[in-house]
Order: sequence, then C-alpha cells, then structure tokens
Amino acid sequence: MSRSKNPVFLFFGEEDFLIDEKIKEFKSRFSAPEFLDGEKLSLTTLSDSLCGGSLFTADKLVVIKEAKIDDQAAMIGLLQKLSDGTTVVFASSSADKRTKLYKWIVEHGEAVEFKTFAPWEQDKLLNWIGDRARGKGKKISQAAARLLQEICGGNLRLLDGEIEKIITYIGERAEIGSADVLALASAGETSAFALMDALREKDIRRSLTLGQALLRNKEDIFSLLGLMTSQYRLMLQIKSLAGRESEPNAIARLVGGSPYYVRKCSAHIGRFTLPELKKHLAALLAAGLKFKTGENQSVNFELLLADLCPAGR
Amino acid sequence: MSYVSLYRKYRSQNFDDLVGQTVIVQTLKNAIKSNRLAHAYLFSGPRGTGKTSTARILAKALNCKDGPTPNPCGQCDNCEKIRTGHSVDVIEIDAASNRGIDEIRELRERVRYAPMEGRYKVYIIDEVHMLTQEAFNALLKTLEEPPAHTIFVLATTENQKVPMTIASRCQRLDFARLKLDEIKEQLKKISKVEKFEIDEKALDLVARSAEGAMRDAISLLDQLVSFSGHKIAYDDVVTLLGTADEELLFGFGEAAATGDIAAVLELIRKGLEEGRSMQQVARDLVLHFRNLLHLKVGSGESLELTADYLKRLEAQAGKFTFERIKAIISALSRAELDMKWHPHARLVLEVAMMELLGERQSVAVASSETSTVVRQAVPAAKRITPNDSPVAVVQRTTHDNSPVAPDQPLTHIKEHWSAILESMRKKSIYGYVSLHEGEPIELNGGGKLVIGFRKGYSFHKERLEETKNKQALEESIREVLGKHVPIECVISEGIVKAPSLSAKTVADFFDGRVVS
Repeated sequence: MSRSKNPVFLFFGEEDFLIDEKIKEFKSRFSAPEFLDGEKLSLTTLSDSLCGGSLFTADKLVVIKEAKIDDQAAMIGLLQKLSDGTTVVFASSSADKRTKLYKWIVEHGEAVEFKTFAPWEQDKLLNWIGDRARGKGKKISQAAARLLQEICGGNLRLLDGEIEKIITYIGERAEIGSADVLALASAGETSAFALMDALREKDIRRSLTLGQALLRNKEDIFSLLGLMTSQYRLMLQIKSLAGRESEPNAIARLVGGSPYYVRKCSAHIGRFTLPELKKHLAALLAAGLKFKTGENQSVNFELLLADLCPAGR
Repeated sequence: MSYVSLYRKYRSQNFDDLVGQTVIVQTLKNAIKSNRLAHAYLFSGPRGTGKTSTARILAKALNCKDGPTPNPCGQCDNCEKIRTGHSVDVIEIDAASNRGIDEIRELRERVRYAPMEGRYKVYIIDEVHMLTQEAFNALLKTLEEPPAHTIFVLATTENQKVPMTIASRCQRLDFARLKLDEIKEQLKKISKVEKFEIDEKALDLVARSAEGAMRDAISLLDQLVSFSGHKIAYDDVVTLLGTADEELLFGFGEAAATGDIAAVLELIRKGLEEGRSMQQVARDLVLHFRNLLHLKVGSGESLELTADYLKRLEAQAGKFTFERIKAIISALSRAELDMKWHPHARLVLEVAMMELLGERQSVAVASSETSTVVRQAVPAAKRITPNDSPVAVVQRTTHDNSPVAPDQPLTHIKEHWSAILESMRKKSIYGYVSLHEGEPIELNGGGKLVIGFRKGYSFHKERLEETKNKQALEESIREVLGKHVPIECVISEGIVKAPSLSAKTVADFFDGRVVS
C-alpha cells in the first residue's frame, strides 16, 4: 500500500479478520496506538485525539472502529487539520460510498475494501490457507487444506484459529496432513460432511452409522436438517438445469453455490430422479415438523435417513 | 470427614488422568511446552466429558510453582488451592446463573488486574451459551483485546448457541462423547479401588445408560452402591434405572413378529406390574426396534452393544422386513408422544400395538374375511362389541360419491351407528376409539353429518379429524349406508353421553378384573 499524502485510511468490508490483521500491522509500527469506540464518538473527543500531538512519541496512530458520524463536514474539517505525525484508521463493516466523507478519504487518503472469498473463489481460499500455514512455519497438504476449507467454510478468522490449533497439535512435525485436520475437527463436523456424502451415495449403512454418531455427540438436529435440505435443494437445482447447463462453475454462479460442492453433487445426480428429489425435500419438511411438535427427535431422524436411502433396502 | 461423592473423588487431577480426550490433551500439552497458548479457549461437548476438569487442570498447569508445565505437581500451594477451589487467580463463573451484562461488565473491570498468586488469571465460564446477547457483546470486547496475563476458558454443551463472533475468537476444542469401553474401564478401576463387586452385564448396562458421559456413569455407580451395597447385580441396575429389561424387550419383539396380541397385552401388564412407567416402556421399545433397524441395514457396530446382545438382536431382526421395522418405530414414536398428555398411557400403548399388529393380521386374513384383529387375541367366549350389541354385518353396497340427501333421516344413521363403528374398527383402531366417544347429532344444511363430542373430549375430536381417520369414517359410512356422507366434528355442551362401556365390559375385554 503506498503512503498517501494524507495519512487517513478507511478499511471496510465483511471480512473483519483481514481488517483486524491490517490494523495489527499498523499497530506494530506505532508505540502507543489509541483506540476510539465509534459508537461513543463526540467531535470534542475526536478533535483532542486527531489535532493534538502525542506527548511521548513523534508518530501517533488513532483507530476508530465503526464510527457513527452525523456531521461529516466537521469531521472532514478535523481530518484536514490533523496534527503532524498522526495517522488515522477508520475500520467498519460497511461504508456508504455516496457520503462526502467516503469521497474525501478516497481523494485524499486511502479506502480499502476487504471482501470475503466468493463461493466460486475457492482456489484463492485454498491458497490463502497454504500461505497462512507457511506464515506460521508449517506446510499443509492440498488435501488437508481442502478438508479444512470444507469443515470451516470461508470464515477466515475460524480458519486461522483452526490452523493455529492444528500447528500446536502436531508440535515439531513440519507438515499438516488430512489426518491432523480430522483429529481436531469436531466429530460433529466431520460426521456431518461424511453423512452428506453417504446420502448422495444412498448408502444406508453408512448414513445410519454416521447419523448415530452425530446424535450421540448431541449435534444440533436442526443444523443437520438444514445441511441436508440445502444439499437436496442444490441437487434439485442441478437436475433442473440439466440440458441447459452442465459446467460446475457456471451452475455455481447461477445457483450461488461453491463450484466444488456443485461438482460433488453433480457426480451423483444420475442416481436421483426429479420426483425423488422433490419427495426427499417433502420428507425433510415432514421430519422438521415432527421434531418441532415433540416426537422423539433422534429416532425420527434415523427414520428420515432410512427414507432418504431407499436403495439400501 | 463428610462423604464425598464418587465423581468428585475420582475427578481427573492432571492431563494423564483424563479419559478419552487424547487429542485435546496433546494439543494443550504442546501449547504449554511451545508457549502457543491461546488467549481464549472454547471447550464444547456433551456433559460429563471432562470440560471443566480440563479447564482446572490447564489452570494448574499454568500456575503451578514448577510451571508453566504440562505436568503440574499437584502438591504446591497454587495446585492445591485450584483443586479445592480457593485460588484467587482461577475464577469459575456459572453463566447459567450469572448471565447478564452487569456480571460481564464486572468481569471486564477485574480482568485488568494482574494475577496475585500465579502467572495467569484463568476465567472459567461454564455453560457460556446461557449468556444474554448483551452479555456476549460485552464479553466480545474483552476477547478482542484481552490482557496478556488472562486466559479465558468458555465451556458449553451447546456450541451452536455461542455466537460466531465469540466462537471464532477462541480456540475451539471439541470434547467427544466417551466410548463404552473407556467408561467401563474407568468404572472397573473405581470398583477395584473401592472394593465393589459388579458383574459384567451390570457394568455394561451402567456404561450404556450413561450415553458417553463419565460423570453420569460414576454417579449411577454411586447410587447403585447406596441401593444395593457393595455387590451390584444386573437386576439392581434395571430396577434403579426403571428401564425395561432385555427379556421384556425381546418378548415384545417376538410378539410383534408373530402378531401375538395377547402376548403383547400380557407384556404390557407385566411391565406395569413391575412398576415401570408406560412412557419408559414405550421409549425402550422404540430404542429396541431402532436397534433392529440398524442390524437390518448392517450398521449394528455403531450401537456399541455386547456381542451376545448383538447376536440376539440380529436373530430377531431377521424376523422383520425393513419396512415393517420402520412402521413399528413410527407408530411407537407417535404413541410415546401421545402418552405424554393422555391420561391413560397404558391404553395408548395397547391401542398402538393392537393397531400395528392388526395391520399385519388383516393382511394375513384378508382372503378369509374372518373377524377383526382384536377378536383374534381374545377368547371367543369373551368377544364383545361396544354396547354389547351383536357383531354388525357389514353390507357392502354400490359406492356412490354424491353427498347424502339433506332429507336423509338422522335416525337412519343412528340405527346403523353400531355397524359404522364396527366397520371403523377394522379400518383404524385409533379412529374407532375416538369415534366411540362422539355421537351423530345432526345432518346440517350442507349435507354433512355432525358428530358431537362432550366438552373435555377435544382430543378425540381432533384425532377423528385427522385425514386418515376422517377418510376411514367416511368410507365406513359409505360401506354401511351406500352413500357418501361428509362429516364434521364439533364440541357440543349439550351432549351427555352415558358410559357405553361398563368397567366389567372393559375387564372382560382385556381378560382382567375390576379392582374397585
């Protein structure tokens, strides 16, 4: 990032982990950073912080999180009168690009948006996982990175925490393998994904074994129901698009899913007919109603699995 | 010294004592050795899997005089104070009773101060998912910028209720449910030290009933010792748990396989006589048939049962089809729910079983068109119909879908009511029982037959309104009257229905006796 003529930065976007990392990077360059809570800001406080120099150091960093500024003109006025050596960082989960303040920062300072990886940017996410592990002095195999991404999704803070945990677990070893990821992932997470695989393959034995393991670990039954529903819904969408679109990336864009997951579902789509998928969704709805009206949840969950794998009879 | 319960006496005091959590132990030991401690941990998992014990061991490991060490001495002042709960640096908070923003604000104020005796201040927040949203928001601020000398351990049994903003700022360690063998091994160790005699079958049942929670298993062992002394037998465990024993469950299985209604009714009576609650029997039956389902599809290994038990289950599973097991589980699960709010739980279970076996029998006897299901289980001399009326002869007539003419006299329907009831009994036992509590009161302007129920009988009204039962009744009316008559159910205060079944009739029907 090049140094702008006014040391005013706006970091915004959904990916708060990357924003925090950026702030951490800035913090390391200053001896006494000052943090202001944007919700309790007053112009007087701001004026004292931005326009008064530091007593002890030449350079000063002021970080303002989630600033709520009504009088934008006054704010711009303060930023124009920044004391020498003061750097200001605004951090926010969103930014209104139509406001005067945003436009002023773009013109005189720097605004950076931190976006989450889109579902079709999974390759970039895998690279990020690899880089992160390397940054901590370890390597991670491609399969392990993919498994980690499958378990944690695209939440970078969560992924970073998991990488740190696995590195602690492996100790002196140099490379993270799939077995390490599996060892530390919760039984629920790994079994839930394995259950989805078994359901796609209509493998009733595996479905019931995994279902049993999930129930024993007191996994939230409604989360599982949600996961199953989204899988069958995606398969229904893929099936409905048959003849019009077959390329996973294109399907992923159309239905808003991950190409990796679309590819996984597409591989088994031939096993299902359109009416069967509709029937499965109806069975999931009926099961959800039973769970909510007081029937034995675990037993009805297993009955549902048996209904969803008719090939196993 | 006062009595200390077994689970407190045998609580793990160091990482090596922890049962069944090897991955977590290795991670925490490595974190201490390589100084890669997280500022906040989230311990999640089912109850009784070692979350709080691990948190305390971690606190000892960090604050032990020899520490930080993966092997705390357990002897120094700090270790001893943490063990007895007197350490000022280890603060345990029960989030279930301190769940508001004020408690968390107070915590935030105190977090700033350095530890007094050890190196770290360790905050153990148990059942963290119980905090309010505002309290979570306040906690988030602390977790974002925690002081270097503070470590948070958040423990929860319901991980999904912890906001992602909190969970993603913690290192999450998932405590797995303990395996059957691990629990059995620990129980054996305790029994050996305490000089308890417990047979293998009893040990197996204790471990199984704990469902992966070590604390539950040890507590149950403690109760068993109070109940039956130092010698514990299988029957003691069955009595204490109030569960149906193996024989009862396999007996039900056999009766269901052969369609022996009399045997089923006898088993229900026996269960009740032995002091078991009908809900518990239904629950155990559901689990028994669910075990059979697993055996049927080859996933029996996941059940963690003994080889002998599995063998017996396997033999019984062979007597059912996959679909039949599913139907039985479904019906029993529904009955288990109905029993929660029906005043006669026994009747619900009996009717459910009769309906289940009835379906099977009606398939078997369809060709011979013999009598109804219930009559097959009851001696001929005791066969009765409600009102002690003779068995109605069902006249099959040509079906006609046109609604009944408004001038169809209600008296005509009333005259044939017992035949309609009889026909209904063949179609749906549940529907029959509910219909029996109502009576035809009018044919309304729309040509619908209005069936009235007394106040307080809305359960039967709603049961009869279920699509399946409603269709069965309309079909029964069509069979008897030769006309399609739509029905409507109402609660009518004017109805005073004389009890049509005397106590003696019921006693005769079930081959029992009137007690008072």
